[in-house]
Amino acid sequence: MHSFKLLLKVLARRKFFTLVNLFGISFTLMVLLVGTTLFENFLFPRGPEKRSDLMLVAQRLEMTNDDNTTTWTSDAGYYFLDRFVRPMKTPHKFAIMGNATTVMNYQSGAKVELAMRPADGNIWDILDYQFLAGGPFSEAQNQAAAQVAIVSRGTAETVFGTDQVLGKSLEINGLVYEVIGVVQNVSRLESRAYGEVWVPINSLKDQSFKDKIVDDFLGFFLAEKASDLPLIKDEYDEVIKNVVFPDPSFTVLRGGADNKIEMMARSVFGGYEKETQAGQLLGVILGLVLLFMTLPAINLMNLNTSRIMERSSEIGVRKAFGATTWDLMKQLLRENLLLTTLGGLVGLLLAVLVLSLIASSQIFPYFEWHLNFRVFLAGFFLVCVFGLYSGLYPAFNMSRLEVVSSLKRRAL
Amino acid sequence: MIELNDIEKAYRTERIETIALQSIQLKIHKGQFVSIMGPSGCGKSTLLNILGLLDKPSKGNYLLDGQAVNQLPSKKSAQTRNQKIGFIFQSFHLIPDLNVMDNVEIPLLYRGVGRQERMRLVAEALDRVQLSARVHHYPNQLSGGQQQRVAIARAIVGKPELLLADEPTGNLDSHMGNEVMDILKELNRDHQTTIVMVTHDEHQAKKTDAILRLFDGRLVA
Ligand SMILES: Nc1ncnc2c1ncn2[C@@H]1O[C@H](COP(=O)(O)OP(=O)(O)OP(=O)(O)O)[C@@H](O)[C@H]1O
Ligand SMILES: [Mg+2]
Repeated sequence: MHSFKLLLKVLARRKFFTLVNLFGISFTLMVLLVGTTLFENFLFPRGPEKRSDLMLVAQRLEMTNDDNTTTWTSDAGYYFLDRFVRPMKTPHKFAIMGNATTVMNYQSGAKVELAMRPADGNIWDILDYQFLAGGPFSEAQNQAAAQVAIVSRGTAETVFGTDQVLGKSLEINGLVYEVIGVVQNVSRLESRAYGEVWVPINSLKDQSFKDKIVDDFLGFFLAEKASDLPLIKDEYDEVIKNVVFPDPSFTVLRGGADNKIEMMARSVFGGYEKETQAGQLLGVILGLVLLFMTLPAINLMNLNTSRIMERSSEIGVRKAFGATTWDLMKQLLRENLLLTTLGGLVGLLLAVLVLSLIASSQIFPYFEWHLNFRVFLAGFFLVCVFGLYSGLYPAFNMSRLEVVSSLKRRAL
Repeated sequence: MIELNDIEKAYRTERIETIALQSIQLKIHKGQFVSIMGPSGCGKSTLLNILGLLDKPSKGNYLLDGQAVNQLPSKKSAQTRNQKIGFIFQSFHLIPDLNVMDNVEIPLLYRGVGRQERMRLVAEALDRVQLSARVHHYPNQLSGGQQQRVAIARAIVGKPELLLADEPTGNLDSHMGNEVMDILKELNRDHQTTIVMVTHDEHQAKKTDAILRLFDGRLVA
């Protein structure tokens, strides 16, 4: 209480500096909170990828020929996934789905671009698409190359102007599909599950993908329990090493099965090893966060330092009456944490505003975000780090002031 | 209560060495009210700061209540100041952002006294300096004399055995100065508080039990 009242007084005395600083803190924490929210939503999805903690995805591959003259790097090919990966023993479930390709549809009278994903009938057991009407296509339907399609609610509304679309015909690449299911829109943050229309892989007109090792497909593994995940990685590694190439001039295949953070690390650092540099990625992110905090932290350090000079008489008095160095450091850090918490709260409001703006601006289709306890915890952690970062040095400086000299300044 | 043996204080910078105090021998008994006089720059404040453990002597021994205190680690000396010593400064040194209550309770905060007890002790101290009606005022709402009385309340709120005052009346007119002196005399009489006061005012100094005269860093008879 003592400390809070004092903080408000001290801050009110330098309104302009305080406002500039508060703005700096709030803006910084706003950006970090937006980032944290997106990152948290990315790592812990609530949509179709909600079982991410038990999921691995085989995606990036590198294929090299025997004299090292040709290297292919791409996503996995259907032949590789179907012929070699599908028989694996350790995964509980396995499914194949192609990357999204943009297809045009003119049925509504206007040109509509749709993100189309070819999938096998097992994908629904791994990704939790939420069906609003109808249901998925089965693996039998995929084998039979049935021309059936699942659409998202957004697709139903843009193409047909209604969400009552079961049984309607949807034209894709010159083929006519029957809509048999409608799913909830998928957030763009769930990049592995994202799509607007899903069709059986075998229904595609062009079936030339069927003999490719590297191409444009993803293999989805679902583990029965978390402890199976390393086993799946190991078995996948074996599979990769023992691939028999249709084109015998190629001899080496490399790649790994990744969870979400590993996938991110692989796309940042590249690499086709079994293990990714996920640890380094987290280190880099933390480093960037600290770097980003530095400017406003230096600002705050300056404010703190000049505040300390102004308050040297107070510091002298407190020391004279028995405050230890540690007492004074605690006081200044507490004041600083209060200030950063204030900035954090404003930052939180700004973050909610910015996230809502992003969500409503359609920069990312179907972008959704959630604030939850984990984000709050991370935000609180950031605020504390920031408060200590900007407060420790001035507090240390202050506490070293000699009583006699700090009392000599006639600041009052 | 206070015993100084051959105390010396030198300030050294790269080029010059200033001897602020030398060969100081001094005994002050419990309950004594002593004043220190001397020309400007003779070392009065330096001596008082050493007595108050705000500064360390370069040489010599300082016994406070029979305990050697000249080389205490900073945490110990903070503790000793908190429990045994009260300070009054020429320029009051009240914290402008805190009201009278919050200013006066400061020594108690570093003693871990509970809120109820703090309120009681602050009220008692303010009563002694007859400022009970001003608890919620801020320093800039008080006259100089009132501010110095608040500062005295702060110095005595923890019931220290030793009160150190560096020109407590230096910034006050003679009427307010006399008020402050009366309070100090009373404290000395009623509680046997030992008081050491620096002053330039012969008239105030005459009211004390003994006058120490400093000249060029040395005590003169
Ligand atoms: N930090 C310091 N560094 C160097 N010299 C100092 C320092 N503090 C005090 N001195 C010197 O020590 C001497 C005594 O100073 P002190 O402040 O004790 O004088 P004083 O008797 O209190 O004077 P006044 O009556 O003006 O307050 C002076 O010559 C002063 O210049
Ligand atoms: Mg002086």
